[in-house]
Amino acid sequence: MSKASQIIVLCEDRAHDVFVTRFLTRKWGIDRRDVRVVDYPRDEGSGRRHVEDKIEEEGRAFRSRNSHAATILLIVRDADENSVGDVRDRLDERLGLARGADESIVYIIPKWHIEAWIAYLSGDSVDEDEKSEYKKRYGNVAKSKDCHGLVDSLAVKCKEQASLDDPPPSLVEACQEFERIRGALRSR
Amino acid sequence: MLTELYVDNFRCLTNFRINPGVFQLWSGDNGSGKTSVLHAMRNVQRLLRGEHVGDIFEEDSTTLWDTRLEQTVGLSLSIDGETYEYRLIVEYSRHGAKTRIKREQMKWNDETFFLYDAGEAHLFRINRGTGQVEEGVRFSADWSRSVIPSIAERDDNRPLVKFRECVESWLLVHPVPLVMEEMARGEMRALSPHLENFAQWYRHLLQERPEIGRRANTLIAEALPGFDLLSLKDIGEARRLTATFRIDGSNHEFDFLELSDGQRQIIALYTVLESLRAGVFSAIFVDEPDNFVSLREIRPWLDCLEGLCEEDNRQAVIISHHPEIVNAMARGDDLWFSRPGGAHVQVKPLPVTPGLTPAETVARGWGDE
Repeated sequence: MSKASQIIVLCEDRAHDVFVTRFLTRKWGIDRRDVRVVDYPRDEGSGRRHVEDKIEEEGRAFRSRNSHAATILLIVRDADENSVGDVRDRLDERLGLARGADESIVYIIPKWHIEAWIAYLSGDSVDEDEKSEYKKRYGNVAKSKDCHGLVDSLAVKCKEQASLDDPPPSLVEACQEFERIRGALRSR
Repeated sequence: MLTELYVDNFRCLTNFRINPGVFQLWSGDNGSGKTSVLHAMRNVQRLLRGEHVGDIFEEDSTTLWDTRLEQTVGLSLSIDGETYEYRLIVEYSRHGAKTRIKREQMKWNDETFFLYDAGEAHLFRINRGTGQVEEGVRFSADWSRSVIPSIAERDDNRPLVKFRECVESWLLVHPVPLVMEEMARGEMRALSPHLENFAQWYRHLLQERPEIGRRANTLIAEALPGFDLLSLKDIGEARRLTATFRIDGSNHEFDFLELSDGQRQIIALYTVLESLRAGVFSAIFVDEPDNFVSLREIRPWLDCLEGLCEEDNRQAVIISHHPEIVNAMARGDDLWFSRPGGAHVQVKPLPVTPGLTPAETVARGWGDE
């Protein structure tokens, strides 16, 4: 019997791809073959539109597939200038049919961008109102193996359900979102 | 690591210079010169393994529209923080006389460490007292083959040997499972260009480094359900490559040629990957590894390869048109090969189209070619 792709990742760019793929595969022990990252554009600035354009299509595919195979749809979008709540509503709207409480659709929404989380994991005290500093400082780290250790440490804490020390609010919300799929990851 | 490659007057490559990366994609239209680059590199490798220049370099390999009789290949390498530069000039004759090495030079950290010029070889050495490079013996040498392969290793000529070993241990292949043989009548240290001799090479590998075979088996088992072991079974003097699969609780053995093309390709790719990790190869340059491999198995191999390039300081260049590979590897340091107007090869980074994936950009083409 052929194996199934079970976690579909719709994200904006390579930094998202590296973060999520590493998070799932190393400490959670998920087979790389079970993580399918939807190809994203390479130019900077198109990622947000890419996620919003694709979400309805991926949502439809998820729901049609989920009737016969356990699947997770993981969507990563930077909040940029918006609040995490606004982006969540926007994604719900673009999804067509809003998420059901028991659907394994997860929104990961860093405030401004994921480099702020990398800064936090590196030990910086993070201010989520800061627009560009973290991207400038951690842009290359987030796209490369240099972030692996940081992501691994987060994955370990997440797996052990250990509390984070003064985390940025958007990361707290992402942890709460993650609870939607914790059971599905454990039972796989 | 190969940091720069220069080729001049070889097929469609004229004054051609590129800087290979640690983990890099080469892509381009059919006939745009990607495979010719590997051919030029393989020619140098064969020369440094001791083959005759006339058996390697063919007169009709000069650029069709170029009347010069000299062909040049240059390499820049970085090994353990030291730089190595090599330049070979091969000369052809208009009157059917033999092809000859005109000049061959290797520089180590900007200082000449080997020179062959005008029929005379100059050897250099590191002075044990001062640590400086100084000229050693010079002697008349045959122009039909390189002197470098015949130099015995000594502690004062270490750079020359290190350079030779690095180039010798490149893997330059275009794997084609259709031509891979299953019988190993002997052992072979080097893989052939299409992996025809995979069984003989694997026999050598198991003899010298059995742990590589064991580690490759683990990775192959993740990609091929039920796969347990790749081994060699005695058939008289020869040995047959055999894959063992565990099906419904019992072992079943399959001759290598009974496997599908894709299964053979996956076995070869993961074995190559583990050999790169173990240092059997200093770098790999693989042309179209995606052939016959199922869509979902391409990324795991590629991810594994990228991981070991980053973590174990290895180098991998992949030539491919496959959308999975193009999307995964196109990051700005990739090379797009083209031949505007059918003339000599040019390279540039793969163009970016806002909103499109790299593979979609390639599929749609762009207006300036």
